[in-house]
Amino acid sequence: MLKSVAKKAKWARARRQLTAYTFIMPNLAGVLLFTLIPVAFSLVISFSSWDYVTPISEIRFTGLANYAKMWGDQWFLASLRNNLLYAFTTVPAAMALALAFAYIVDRFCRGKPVIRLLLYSTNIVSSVVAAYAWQMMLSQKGLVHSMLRAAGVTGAPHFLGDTRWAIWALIALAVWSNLGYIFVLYMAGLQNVPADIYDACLVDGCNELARFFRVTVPMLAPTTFFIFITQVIFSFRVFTPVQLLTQGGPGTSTSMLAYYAYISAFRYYEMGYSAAITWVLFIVIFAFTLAQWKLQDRWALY
Amino acid sequence: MKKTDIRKAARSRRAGLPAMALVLALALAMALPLAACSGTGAGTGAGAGTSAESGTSAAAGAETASADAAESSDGAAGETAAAQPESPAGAGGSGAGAESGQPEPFTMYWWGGVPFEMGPQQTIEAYREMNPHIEIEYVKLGWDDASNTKLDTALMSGAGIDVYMPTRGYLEKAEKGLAAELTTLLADAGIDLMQDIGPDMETYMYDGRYFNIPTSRSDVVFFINMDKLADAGLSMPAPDWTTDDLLATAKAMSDGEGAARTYGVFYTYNWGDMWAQPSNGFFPAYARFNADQTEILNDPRMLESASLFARMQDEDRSTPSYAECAAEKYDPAQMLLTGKSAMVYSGAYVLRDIKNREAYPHTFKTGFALPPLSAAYPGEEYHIASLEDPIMISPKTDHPGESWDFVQWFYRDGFAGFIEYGRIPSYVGYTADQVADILVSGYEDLLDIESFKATFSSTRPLNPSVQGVAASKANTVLNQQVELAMLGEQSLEEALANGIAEGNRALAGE
Repeated sequence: MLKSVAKKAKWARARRQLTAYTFIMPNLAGVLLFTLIPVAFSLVISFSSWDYVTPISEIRFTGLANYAKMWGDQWFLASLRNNLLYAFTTVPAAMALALAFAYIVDRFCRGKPVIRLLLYSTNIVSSVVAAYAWQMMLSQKGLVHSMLRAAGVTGAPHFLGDTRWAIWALIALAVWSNLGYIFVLYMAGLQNVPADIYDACLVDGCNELARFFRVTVPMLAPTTFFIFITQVIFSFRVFTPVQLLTQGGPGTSTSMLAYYAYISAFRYYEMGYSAAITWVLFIVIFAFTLAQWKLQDRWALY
Repeated sequence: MKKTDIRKAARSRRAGLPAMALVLALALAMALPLAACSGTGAGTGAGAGTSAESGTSAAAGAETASADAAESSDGAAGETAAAQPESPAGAGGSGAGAESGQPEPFTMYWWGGVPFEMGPQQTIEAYREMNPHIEIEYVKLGWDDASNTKLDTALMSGAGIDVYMPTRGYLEKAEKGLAAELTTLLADAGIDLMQDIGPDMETYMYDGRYFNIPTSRSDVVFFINMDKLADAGLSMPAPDWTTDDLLATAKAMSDGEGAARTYGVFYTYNWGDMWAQPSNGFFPAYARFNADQTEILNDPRMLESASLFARMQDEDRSTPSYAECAAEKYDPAQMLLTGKSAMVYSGAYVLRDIKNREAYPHTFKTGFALPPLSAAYPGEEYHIASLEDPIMISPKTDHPGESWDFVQWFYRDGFAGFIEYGRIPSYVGYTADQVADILVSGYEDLLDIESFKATFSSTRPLNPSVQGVAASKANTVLNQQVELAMLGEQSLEEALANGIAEGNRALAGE
């Protein structure tokens, strides 16, 4: 009897699960078909020299050749270096600025919704429009040069055409466009810091700086952690501004992995090599995410 | 106890069945649009259906095979289509129609990068007058990587494409099996392209066989603002002018400072090889490869060309620097027609913008000159002109006969409509005078007809810029290195040594 009840319960559970799976099936099928299968396929072709035009039946496997050759490829190495520099300057800079803005706005400003809307608007603007606007601003007759001239600076560099400046122009663009999004997240985080902790801090004789560094920053650690991880991942995948503003140049000074992978596949028909590059990109992102995950135990308060 | 148990179970099962049915119906309803999306989204799913249909209705021998068979034997289907399309005079293709004497109407798909109203429209109208049963749908391609990929995908699927003019990678299409071979067709029709287009046609052959017919010829020449020339007290360059003359002319026509500076000469930045363009008259860029394009050779003229450019950029400041060009995204037509540069070295396509009074209102006359020679290399005289806008046939077309009919009419008579819009025909049947008359007519105040005729009918050996995939990548990495040198990151000698080494690695596929 007991056995049969258990069996029945099991059957009912299985049927419930089946119903649930049937409900999510259309989505699941989409994810499988358009995401997971292509991802697995890209791993397979990263071990081949496929050019995407020859029939897949004639695919020629080359083992680890694609993964081996990239470490002697100057273009790839430059892209990797640029990608690391880009991600690890863009993210901290945007986060620090956003946190400062959020704190000041939250503590001292009136009309928060309006400020929030204005700051967030940089994130709503299409990345293509933003890129072209920045190109105009940075051009010789643009805003930045005019301001520099007005301030008496002569011989300002051609920002997008200079090997030393071009990547910083892209970084500035990224900081500008991500600032609003991070700001909104920090604003939300600040609302969740309990007022009594601030009161306790005040009783203990905190000044403004201590209030910020001893209470606000630690209490925002979960928010910071979330923002850091998602922004690093996002920054590693940068493509649009590179394609629109510099095409990886001058030289290879602004080439990034996603851009080089795209060029390899669709200009030079090296689909296998391109897939290998994206897998290296994936491994890099994954490694950083994992490291951050491990580290969060040390500094998160929750 | 037992009875109620059974009833409960039955009830729950009964309740479960409609729920399950509902779920399935919902799932189906959600999956259907998803499936529809994937079909139209790729632009091939829906097309494949129509191609299979028209394939069977054409009833042309091999094409009666089931869609499945055609799908599974991609390569083989391509070869059959390439090897045995019907001869132009052949009766095939219009099966049922032939009996009633009325050819069966159908739509031919023509892909190309030329804007519709700048030639294709006129060509289609002219062709439809002769062949009213053929509807031609023109698919406009962009000139970027993404458009090329779109074209490749269409060619692979074979749907909705019959004839096409790729916007890049002309030989790659043959190399990758995406173009029907024309060698036998040409021979059967008694056409010799070496006669019709000229000996340069050889560079456009793949593996000694024909896969495309370039329809236009793009001469790369100097476009000269004749007002600025006169203001500087100079006259038009002699046909045998040298790089020393170029340096002096460019310097004399440069003026102003900072953002307001106007330059003597501008080389086409977006080709990626500004440093190599000053030597085009005596050492064409593509001569840097060995014969089978497997190696870049270190010719001293490469350093000479780069040094010439560096001098104009840094000392004379008679040409905008690499940094300025990259930051400002300068474009040849804009540089010439806004007066930012007195001379521009670029392709014949600038003619189209000179004639566009609305977009570029200007009053000066533009003269033309061939690239300068070098006193250090007497006897070396070249001219860069590439054959462009090649017309090709999809190996999977459902209308090989009609496509071939169209192609052989198009590169000769059918190209007339393109000339007015600044495209110079490759077919030798058009004389230089004829072309000049059509092109300059109505624009005598903007174009100098005398130097136009002299320059565009030059007898200097041409240097077509055809290259395979590997050579194209090799050029890019070489250009990257020289660009770094022009920006002061390394010396020109280092740049060339690094660039050649990197380029050769790319050529070797390393």
